[in-house]
Amino acid sequence: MKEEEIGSTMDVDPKQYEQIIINGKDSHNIILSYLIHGCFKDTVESLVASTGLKVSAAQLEDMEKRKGILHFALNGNVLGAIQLTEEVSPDLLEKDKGLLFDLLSLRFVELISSKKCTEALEFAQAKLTPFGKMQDYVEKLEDFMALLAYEEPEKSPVFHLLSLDYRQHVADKLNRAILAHACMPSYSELERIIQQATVVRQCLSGDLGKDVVSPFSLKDFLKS
Amino acid sequence: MENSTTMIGSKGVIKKHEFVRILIQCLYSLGYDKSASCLESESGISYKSSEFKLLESLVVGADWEGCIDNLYGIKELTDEQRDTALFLVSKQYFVECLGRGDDSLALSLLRKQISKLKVGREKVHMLAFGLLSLGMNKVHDDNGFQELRKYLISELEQVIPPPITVPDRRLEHLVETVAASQVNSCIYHNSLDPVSIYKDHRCGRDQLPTETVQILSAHKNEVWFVQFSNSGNYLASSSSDCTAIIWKVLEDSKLVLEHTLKSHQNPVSFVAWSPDDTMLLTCGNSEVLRLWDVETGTCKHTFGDNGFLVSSCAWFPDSNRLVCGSSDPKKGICMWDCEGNEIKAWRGIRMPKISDIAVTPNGEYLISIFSDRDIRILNVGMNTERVISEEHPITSLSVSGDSKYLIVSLNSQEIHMWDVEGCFEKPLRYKGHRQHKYVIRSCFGGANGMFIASGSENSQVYIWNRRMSDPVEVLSGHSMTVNCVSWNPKRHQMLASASDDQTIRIWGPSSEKACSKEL
Repeated sequence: MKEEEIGSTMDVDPKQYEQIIINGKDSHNIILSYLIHGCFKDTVESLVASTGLKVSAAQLEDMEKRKGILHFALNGNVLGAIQLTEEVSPDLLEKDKGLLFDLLSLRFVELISSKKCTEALEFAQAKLTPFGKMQDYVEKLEDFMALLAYEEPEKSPVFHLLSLDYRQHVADKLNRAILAHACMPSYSELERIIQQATVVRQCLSGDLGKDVVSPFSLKDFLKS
Repeated sequence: MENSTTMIGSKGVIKKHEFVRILIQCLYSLGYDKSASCLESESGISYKSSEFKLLESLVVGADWEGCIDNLYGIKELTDEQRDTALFLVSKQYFVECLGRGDDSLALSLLRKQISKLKVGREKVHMLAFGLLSLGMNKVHDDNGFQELRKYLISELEQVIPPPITVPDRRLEHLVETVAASQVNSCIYHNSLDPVSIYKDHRCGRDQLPTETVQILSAHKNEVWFVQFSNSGNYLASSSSDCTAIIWKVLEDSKLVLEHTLKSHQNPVSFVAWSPDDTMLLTCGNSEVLRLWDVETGTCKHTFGDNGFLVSSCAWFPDSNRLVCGSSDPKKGICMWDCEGNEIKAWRGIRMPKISDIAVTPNGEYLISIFSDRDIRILNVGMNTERVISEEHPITSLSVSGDSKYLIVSLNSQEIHMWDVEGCFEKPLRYKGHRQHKYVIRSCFGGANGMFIASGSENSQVYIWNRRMSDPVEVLSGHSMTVNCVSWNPKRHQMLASASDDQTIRIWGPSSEKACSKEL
């Protein structure tokens, strides 16, 4: 086997890749599923126009709605996001208490970020108190309530709750839940393929044992 | 009013007003409130300092801002103590605000003052969580608040240092310290009873077994091993006459022969009582392992065969599992149950010969002597082991009753004490006896296992207080090498010794008449 510069000696000879033929339609579908998952409606429309793939009106409408919900969630309007979610996926939030908690606590965080502490406290007392009686949520709720204790919450030990990363995390969770509720796949095909490739390579290098120094890096692989 | 620089005591180092103050505290803590306040007025010395009384009145009156200012004003506080005290006071303030429904004041107090104190964020976060008022321990009324305020005062008393407060139970502590120190330096101290504070404590040697009170001569050859049962009601002995004998300890501390265990073909060098004292194991260097029923004196089981010779054995606390070590290299250590089923074994090329084995009374560690010089301590639950390597051959291993220490007797005429968990870098050493060629055994003994006893090649029995490396007593009586000793675990003044002169001697305190009763 030819040795690669980076990665393990287990790397397959790139010429072997050329033996595998990939169906063009498969590639397009992978891209499409990724775009639908991420609500990139305009991009989907132009992809459909250039490739002849089919996308239904229902799918387009669903993308539009989800786009709206996620936009609200990320940009300071969680209450709006909750309302739209109840229209699109009724009883989703009733059944998924964890998701409801995440959204309500995100609203709480919004109020803290806009320095409306008294309102935040009132909101928490009204909406978050029931979760305080459930063992699974107590620890998380303690962290959120701690935000109230600091005049500069961004410098507190729980500052990460105010970050964009956290909002993104909740938005992703919401997106997957809505898709699952509509019996659509909650992970796009592209994500799945990358996850699978990473796991397989890690298993292989794990089996080899000590010879391999670095774990699989997608970035490096793509450059090679 | 007393002059606060008056001294008392023969050395003039104790301040009278401090002494009286801790006396007053003592009276209050014993419940003698009337006497305490009487003493306060007679002496003019108040138990609570004026600073503390001020703080107390601010708390009772719920003047929280006043309390906080007061705490900032006390110079004797370290920053840490001040923040702790401020947190306690602010917490009560916070709780009372919430109780009255004043959420916004509570919130502002939390944000502006409490979160800035250096008291650990879990405490601050707990209070924030309390803003949800989940209904647990909700206090609304003034009576409830008064109770909490009283509790706050006692908490503040623990945090604020002397001289503003007096540490809890100060007089008791001082007396206890002195009594404990006297007991610790008492080399003959051999009892678990409380000491009298009427006199400075000092035991005489009459606390230890120093005189022969009985001689047991039933064995027909050298006696190699003795051990009292865990209850102290029996003694087992074994001899090169190929038998073992079980003796009963009577109420009046005399021993009588109960059973003679005959069926070994070779000298019996080791016995082990089951933790519940119903069974006895016997073995010898060229012998198999036998299990005997103590009540009937009959042999219930034989372990091993001519191919597996057991040098020593030990029980686990359940009185069902036993381990034995083999004197053949590679045969290793075996764990059996009483029916003879093998439970576990450590065999193989890495297992050299085992000369001694013991299990700590709490069952957590299995200790064995490998290749004469290595002490292997195996943590049974975690299956981890550590090794202590001695420089001279080890002839015996004993473990203390509290499972914390072990002693080994060495041919270099020293006994080394190590701790089981592994904190000692060097052993404690005990010397003075003679040991060159033969297997001489030692043991722990006395109340709290504070003493060590050993046999010796010069026919004497040696006793050490664990705190000192030279013996406190040397007992004469035997006419030949004393091979083994055992201290009765329940009757702390009874010691047994086994000798090549074919007798066993029972030793007791010198106040008893030394009567040698031949048996």
